[in-house]
Amino acid sequence: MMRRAVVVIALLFAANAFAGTGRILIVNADRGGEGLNDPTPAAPVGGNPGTTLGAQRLNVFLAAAERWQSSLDLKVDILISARFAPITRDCNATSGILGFAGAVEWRHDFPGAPRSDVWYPIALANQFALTDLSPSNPDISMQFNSAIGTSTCLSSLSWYYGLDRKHGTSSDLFVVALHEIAHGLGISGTTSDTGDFFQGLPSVFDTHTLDVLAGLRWDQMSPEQRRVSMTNSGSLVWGGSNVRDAMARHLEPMVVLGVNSRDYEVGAASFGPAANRRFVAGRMVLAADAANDEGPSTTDACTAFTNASDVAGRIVLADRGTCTFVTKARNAQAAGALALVVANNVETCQPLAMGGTADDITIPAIGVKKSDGDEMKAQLAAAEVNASLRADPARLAGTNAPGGYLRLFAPCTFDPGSSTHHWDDTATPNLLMEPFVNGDLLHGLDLTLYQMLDIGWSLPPRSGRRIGKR
Amino acid sequence: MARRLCICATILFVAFGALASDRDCTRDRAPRVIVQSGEGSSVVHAPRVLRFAQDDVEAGFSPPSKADRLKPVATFSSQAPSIEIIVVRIGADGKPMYACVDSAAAAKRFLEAPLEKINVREAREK
Repeated sequence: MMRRAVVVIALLFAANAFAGTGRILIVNADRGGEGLNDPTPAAPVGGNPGTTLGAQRLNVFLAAAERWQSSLDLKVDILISARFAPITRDCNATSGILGFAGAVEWRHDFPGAPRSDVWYPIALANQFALTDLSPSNPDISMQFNSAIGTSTCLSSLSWYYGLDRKHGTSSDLFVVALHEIAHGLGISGTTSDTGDFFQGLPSVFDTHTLDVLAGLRWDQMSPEQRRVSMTNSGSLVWGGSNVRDAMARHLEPMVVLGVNSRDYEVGAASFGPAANRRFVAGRMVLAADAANDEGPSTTDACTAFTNASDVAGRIVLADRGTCTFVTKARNAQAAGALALVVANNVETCQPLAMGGTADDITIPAIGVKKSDGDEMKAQLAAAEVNASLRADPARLAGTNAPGGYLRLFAPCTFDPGSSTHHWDDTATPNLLMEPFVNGDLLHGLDLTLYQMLDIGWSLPPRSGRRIGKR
Repeated sequence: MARRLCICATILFVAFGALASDRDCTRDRAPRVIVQSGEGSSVVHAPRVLRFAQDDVEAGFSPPSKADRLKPVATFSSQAPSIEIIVVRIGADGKPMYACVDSAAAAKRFLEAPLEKINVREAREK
């Protein structure tokens, strides 16, 4: 009894003594005159005081590192080896690689490991072990592409080195660096496309990856079950309690389309007013327009509506196809519709999200799955249909169900490599760790910080839970 | 005896913890993020994993399988079983579309796919 008490006290003292003493160190791995050492003069931009390209790049890395450092309780230093070098392979005018990063090493069953037979990224393993388990190596490596913006590599694109989010159409290096460092800290895994664990062991990320349809976490599944789970769109979620507890403070209510007695999930449009900003209700009608070269279907809304008098003051349903979503929205708006619902013309596992740009659209536009659109059309053919477009306060955008979990990205059309280490892209507002690094991201850590807590990181001393929203 | 020891330790623990977490009492007062040159650095040399990753991306997206390339350096350790790559395509409207993928093969697919097949909202205009 006495001996056990002494051991526990010693461990507590050790952990306490290390609290908050670690730093994130950026190791400049570029050669002289290149990348982070590039002496090309540059005017200070957006709060970045650097006067050379190299200094500005380094300042952004430092700022991103500082953001993570100040948000986590680091007991052991984290070394990030950073480069800013050309990645010219397969880079052309319209496509290329911005950068890449990852944990340099993974460990399991190290001294202090909270769970046996689980892989931990080395930076996190060091925190548990209270020592640098791999002192001769960095913990995270990352490289960004310095060739971007040159004549042969994505010439229309450029990096933005400011720290004020005013990146315009340029790539906000600060956000990209935050995202990539998060992967290196553990928002990543070791599972192959076939569902096999590396050397038969799950990563700590996998131990929180939950398939609500199967009712199993990935570490409870067979490789075949995991392979299937990777495409279980909407049902693959993050099972960690910290994220679950924090979701309501970060996510907006989900927008649903109520049709008669059923609520349908909807996809958002990148133009027009946000559908969750207003409540719209009314009768639903099917669009009718001429079948012509601009749109061969009479329900594609590609030309002026022939049933404008029916559409006015109502929610109009149209089919996807031929013309742009913006064109459909313009025609619906011209006919006086309250809102536009576009039914997909191919079956997918997720509601149709619509792209496009327009400043003149004032009605909300949303997309639905083909099967859902077919159901609505069947109801319209049989009787009067009432619909409402509203935010459902019981369900958060990006979650699998009321009171449920935040979804992980698991597109049903299997795209090996792109899935599961990111949040689903239905989360609203957009999150740092969605797979598509969105231009509207703020510079916060949002729910990713809580994901870090779930895998074993802790908050700095005294910070408690007072973490600002995004 | 054990109980008494626990009470004393708790008092010391709280006091010591408060001291350790005080920013003025941490082990250095220097900026908490520092920069070290990779060239000639006595701390970390050019990381081989970075070279591995660079090779992955630069050498035609045909890396060996993870199992082949990931030789454990010790019984319980493994070198970089994962890498996350941010790729970009310019859409028909001139706007960039980003994606983060976790293998060189997935990066290649994203870069070579027809624009309309890319699962990014902004790619779907009609």
